[in-house]
Amino acid sequence: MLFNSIVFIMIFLPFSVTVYYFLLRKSNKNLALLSLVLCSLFFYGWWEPKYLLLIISSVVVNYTVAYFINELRGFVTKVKLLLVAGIVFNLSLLGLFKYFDLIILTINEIASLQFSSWYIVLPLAISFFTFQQIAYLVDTAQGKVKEQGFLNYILFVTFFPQLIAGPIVHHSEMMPQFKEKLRPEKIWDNISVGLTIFTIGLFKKVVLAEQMAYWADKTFAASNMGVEVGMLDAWTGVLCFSFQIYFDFSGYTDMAMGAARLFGIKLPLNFLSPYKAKNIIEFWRHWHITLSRFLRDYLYIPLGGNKLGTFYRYRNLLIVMLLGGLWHGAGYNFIVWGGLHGLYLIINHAWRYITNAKIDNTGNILKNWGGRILTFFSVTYAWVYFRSDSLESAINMSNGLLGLNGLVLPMHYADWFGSSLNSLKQIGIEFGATITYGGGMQLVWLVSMFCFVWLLPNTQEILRRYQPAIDYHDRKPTTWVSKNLIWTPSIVSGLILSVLAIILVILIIQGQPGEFIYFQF
Amino acid sequence: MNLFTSSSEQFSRIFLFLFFVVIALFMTITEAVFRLRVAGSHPFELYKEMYSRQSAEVVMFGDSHVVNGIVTTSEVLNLGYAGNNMNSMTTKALDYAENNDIEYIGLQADPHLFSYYRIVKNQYDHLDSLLNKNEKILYMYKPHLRKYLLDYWKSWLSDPMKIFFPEKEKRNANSEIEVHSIVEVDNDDRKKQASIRVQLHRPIDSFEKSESAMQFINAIQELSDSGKKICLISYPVSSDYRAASKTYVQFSKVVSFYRSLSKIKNIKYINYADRYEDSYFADVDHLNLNGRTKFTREVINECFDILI
Repeated sequence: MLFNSIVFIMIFLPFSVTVYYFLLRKSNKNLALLSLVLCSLFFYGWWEPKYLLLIISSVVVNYTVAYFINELRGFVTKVKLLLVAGIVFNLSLLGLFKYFDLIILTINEIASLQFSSWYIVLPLAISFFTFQQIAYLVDTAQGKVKEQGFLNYILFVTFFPQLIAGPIVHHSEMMPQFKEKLRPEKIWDNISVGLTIFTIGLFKKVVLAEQMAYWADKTFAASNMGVEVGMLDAWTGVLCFSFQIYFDFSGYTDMAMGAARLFGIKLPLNFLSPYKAKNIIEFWRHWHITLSRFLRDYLYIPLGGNKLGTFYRYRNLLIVMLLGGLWHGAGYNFIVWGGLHGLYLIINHAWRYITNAKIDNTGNILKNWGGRILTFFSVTYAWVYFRSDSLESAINMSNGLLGLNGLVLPMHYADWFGSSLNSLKQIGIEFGATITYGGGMQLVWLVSMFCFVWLLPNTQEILRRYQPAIDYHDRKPTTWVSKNLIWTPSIVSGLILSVLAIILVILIIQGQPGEFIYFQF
Repeated sequence: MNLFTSSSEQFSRIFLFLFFVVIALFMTITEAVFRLRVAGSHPFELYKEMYSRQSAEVVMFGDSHVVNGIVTTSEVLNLGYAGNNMNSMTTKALDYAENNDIEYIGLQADPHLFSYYRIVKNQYDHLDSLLNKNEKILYMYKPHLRKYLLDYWKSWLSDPMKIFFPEKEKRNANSEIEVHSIVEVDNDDRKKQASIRVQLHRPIDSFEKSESAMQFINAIQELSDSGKKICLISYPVSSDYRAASKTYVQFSKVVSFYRSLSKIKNIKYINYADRYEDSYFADVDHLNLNGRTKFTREVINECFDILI
């Protein structure tokens, strides 16, 4: 079930919220939480009921392992053995369902064998719930887990707003919230904040991401089919994808936070204007924050982090980013994407080392914008590998970006050049049908996208009075707009937002709701 | 308390009330008008009716080239539909042949069926609706109605009488055909139109390995195995279109592909691309009324030895 589908917005979400508050008022909190678990399992099973068995078994096995780890505390070897068994179980599930076909393909290629693939359909959310449960097991073994009830545990894993595409929540930030007593005076606050964040997210997805997807999909489809994409088309397509994935993920994160808040639950910060980042280190502190946190705590630090010297630090960074890339998808293009980001991070750290600069160093305007633009285009270039179906297609797009496939301008532009047309043709500039031509409106869209990601305040800033995320700490507003654009719940804002929500739902009815990019991980 | 006073309760109440009431009204009105006033006369529904109820000795499949190229008569049924691609054309041909007693099938064999924009065109909704698979219960979700939802509402709001007396639809209607000729259009404009169209229609380099090519080959095999007589037809195009397409070697490669396929499968292939004067065209690659009348007679005779 998609967050941006009519069945979710008009039926599932209102039903689950109503039942939750009804049970909360009429009986005890556990029954209300149980209703949330059942709704979450229904939400997961809507896509493919047979995979319910997978998620339930995964939860039961992990909970049992964690239980015995607790019981055997003091027996170090036994605890270690149980922990390893638990991690192996989780990684095996992930390996089987997500990477098995890639492994077969690689073996076939290396050893010239003919093993046939299983073409396993990737179960939704498996990458997310696997990571969450590994973190739980590791923390249990280290004695950091305080909440241990099964109801809280299953809800921590399956809670539907975060189940499919994150944030990758940590037990220590979710399970205590399930136990907390909800104050009646907070209910309306939660509902108004939840509705607002959800509507903002829906706008990002339905209006901004979908429009960008229209142009990006055309370009990448052509490239994947071997069409030599011209320079203008390549840049338009890649920029559009860069904005598409931004608003897709940002929109999803907002909707997840909004939906969770309707139940009085706050999710951790996962997305915080990453394109405003002035360097790649900062970018990864603002993009998919909970994944970065997981990789840091459960991979980078156990590998030795930055404690073993410069060489090992860079090696660890590269390993983490390569595996981070692989986490996003079972394909060589994702590994290249991760590797590119690893390389970017190494260059960034080396630069800092040489210049003795700080990560969040605020230099002069020119320096800041220079860094921001460089970061944006580096990230955007890496998306080419992320979005392409194969390495060949990614190279084709890269050639297009560099102008190696020529430059095709829209036919009617030829009229502007008059007598110089022939000399333009001699340098490889042609006039004809372009893949992504969208007229003047396309330019307006792209300029607006830059304004959105670079100049406008994010959801956290707009709703800062109501602390939309667990760990968002009000920062000093940086621009006039973010200083003055503060959301307040009132009759007027309710009217404005409901009109926006109505328009968005009508747009959804009119068009097929597109899947979120992060659903495929 | 005024309209701007901070109140989460007031915010939530006004939001939820307005949202659910307006959406419920919108959905109810849309569904009712679609069911009672629009669906019956919609071109897709008419096409579906034709597809499921009519039959003839010869049935032609393809895209707008077929729609504008063939006249439906007692012997010939034109089941072309604008925007169809290899996937939808072959799926329909196989389905139709399985459920109807027909002898001759004309399949479009134009180079542009291998252009990237046509290959990637999503036709699943069109096919699902036509073949009654995964049929949407609500009319507002039917693909041919839902994508024009806002246009319908704009039209209803500007003239509410249209709700009760809807205009006859023209989109994709097989019966609507241009009578004017492209020779009336300025020469430069024609060349420009042809150039743009040809660039869009340019087949992809690896067309032979594409899924579309496989679908086409498999469909021909299956239809041949079931005893149907198949004719592959490259539809006529204007002189400007032909001139522009000579720039790209892919056009002639696709024609060679069709030709060799017809030899391998022992079926007829006729290339009409350069057989018609420009006065028979409504635009650079679609026949006008005169063109389609002449073409229908010729193609049916030459392909299937039937005189009409």
